[in-house]
Amino acid sequence: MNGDHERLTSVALLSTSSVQLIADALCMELRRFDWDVRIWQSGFNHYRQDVANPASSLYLERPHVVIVHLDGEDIFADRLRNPFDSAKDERAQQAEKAAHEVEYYVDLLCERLPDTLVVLNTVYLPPIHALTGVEYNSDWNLGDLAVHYNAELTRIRERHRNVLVHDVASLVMFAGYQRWVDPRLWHLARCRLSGEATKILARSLGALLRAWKGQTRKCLVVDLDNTLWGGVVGEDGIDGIELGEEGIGLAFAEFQEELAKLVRKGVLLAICSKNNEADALDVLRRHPSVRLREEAFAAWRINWRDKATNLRELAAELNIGLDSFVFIDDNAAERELVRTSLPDVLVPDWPQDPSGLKAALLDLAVRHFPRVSIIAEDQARTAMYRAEGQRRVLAASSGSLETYLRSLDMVAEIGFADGFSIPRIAQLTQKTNQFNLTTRRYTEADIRGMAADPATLVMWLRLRDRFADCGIIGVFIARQCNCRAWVIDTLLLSCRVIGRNVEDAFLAVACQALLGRGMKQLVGEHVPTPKNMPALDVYRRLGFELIQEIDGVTRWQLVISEKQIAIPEWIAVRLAAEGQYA
Amino acid sequence: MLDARLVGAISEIFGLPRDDVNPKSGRDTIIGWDSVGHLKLILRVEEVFRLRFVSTQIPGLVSAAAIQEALDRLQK
Repeated sequence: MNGDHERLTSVALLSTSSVQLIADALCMELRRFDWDVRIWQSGFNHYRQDVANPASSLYLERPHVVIVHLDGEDIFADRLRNPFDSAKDERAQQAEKAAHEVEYYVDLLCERLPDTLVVLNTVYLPPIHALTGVEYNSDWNLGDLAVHYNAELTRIRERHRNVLVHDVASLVMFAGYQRWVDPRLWHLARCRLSGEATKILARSLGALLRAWKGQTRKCLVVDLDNTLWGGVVGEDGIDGIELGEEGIGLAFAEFQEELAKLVRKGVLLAICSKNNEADALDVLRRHPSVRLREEAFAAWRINWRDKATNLRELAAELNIGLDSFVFIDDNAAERELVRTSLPDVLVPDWPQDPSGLKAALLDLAVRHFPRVSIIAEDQARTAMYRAEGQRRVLAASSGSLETYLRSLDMVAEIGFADGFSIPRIAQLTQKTNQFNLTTRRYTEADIRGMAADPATLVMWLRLRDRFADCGIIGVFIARQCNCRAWVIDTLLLSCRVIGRNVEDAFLAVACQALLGRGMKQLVGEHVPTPKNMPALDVYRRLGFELIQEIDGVTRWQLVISEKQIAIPEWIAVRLAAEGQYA
Repeated sequence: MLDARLVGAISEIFGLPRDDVNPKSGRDTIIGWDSVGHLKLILRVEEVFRLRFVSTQIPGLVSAAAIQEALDRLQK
């Protein structure tokens, strides 16, 4: 299944109600993000049979994703019909029993489809029912069924690494129950959701699946005047802008607080503003209510040039593609200029009302910077990119490249994939475009499968230098081809460390590991993409011989029993003990 | 006479050229106008015209002419 991710994603949709409208909407939503997707649906209220029967067509489909879309009104149909029948303690037991039933089917799915992502959902119950008014004033209650059940989902998710929970109950609260359901569709077609809810659900599921595959934007670029604060700092002065603890100033402060939280989740923030740099930085350094200090920003262009040029420069400085950028500006003309000149940059419409800024940002984040987990590298990302800026200053003053590289005091730690490193390894395969020889994308489950396979070697490289601990920035995956040769499936380095010969040290150590397994030959591939030209020359430079070229894809071979790759003198190498990375 | 927005909705939901849509277009003449296609079309028409059919009407709206007639009545 591993290689299929780039081509087709098969999604199975199982439910207690009719989900054809959801399937259509999800298909459309994923195709908008260029997914080639096929959706398999269970029959109406047929999901138990489909999961339980090992011969069901569900298992023939071998889906990459199984969405078990369950509705509270179906799970607790008996209780809703007889709300007066159950005592307080019984309701907790009923909710647990319902969760255990779902868990039974999840266990079956995870056992029979070990590489498949299983998506569960939190449930909700109608907010108005026969017990409304009585609930919370007596022992009778219905709402606590959903509360107990949803709490059990966290436990189920913790037991299985391939399970994610989609918080549908919060979506319903956000949209409003009356907009969410359409009783006409239930009566006529056994669909629980309204047309509008179907679209909201599909959007949210799409974001969850993109987050799972690591397909998110990376950098949010903001304007300053009337975006990060109210007013124009060049005219109103630092004391005159609207940013504070009351009134409209509070709206901007709250907006900044949300931006700061995005940084903690690993989103890079940058500034693109027409301003005097000194005036703008003065606000970030001195304003008592500012929530984003200079350190929150990975880079900025604060000058009087056009914003398209500045955004191009930011992309070059941060070494990420323009298709990773989202640009926020209060000025419609600036937005239009960027949309027209840089179509890869996402430029959302932006509210004029400062009270709408926080909600607009949260909506943007959910859609374009979705996350299903946060790892250590995410939280330190801005510091990494800023350290890279400092390295560039050093490089400019160092004279020769070698002098510069020696002055970085690099230490590369190399180890085999383990429970700690696998999430980051998967994330790197999903995000790395430039120094990525084959650009194969893998999920955590894929990497786990390979790490457990004795015929596959999965290694990581962590780099420290005098400016920062860059964390894990390199991945090497090789598969055994025959008893003498191994093929490099994946060799990648984060763009932050390109040009430091880190790959030499990585391949040298990997070769030693393979020699230890009795291997003689190592074969590398370069599969060209529009972005991975920086990696083109690595095999030739390290002494591999070109053995094949078909449609631009080149294969290179090194007889590792005869030829060793040298570790650059300026990189100290340490081998990590298993499980050491944390 | 069909409203251009209704023609647009039918053409969009069933992937037909607009010229192929006429008052007789319906469940019997359009491939894809099955029970799911029917609901998708009704929901799209409600969205475009910003109105809501009652549940008892929906099963009978199985041709462009029938939908147009219901729209005319609702918009009076």
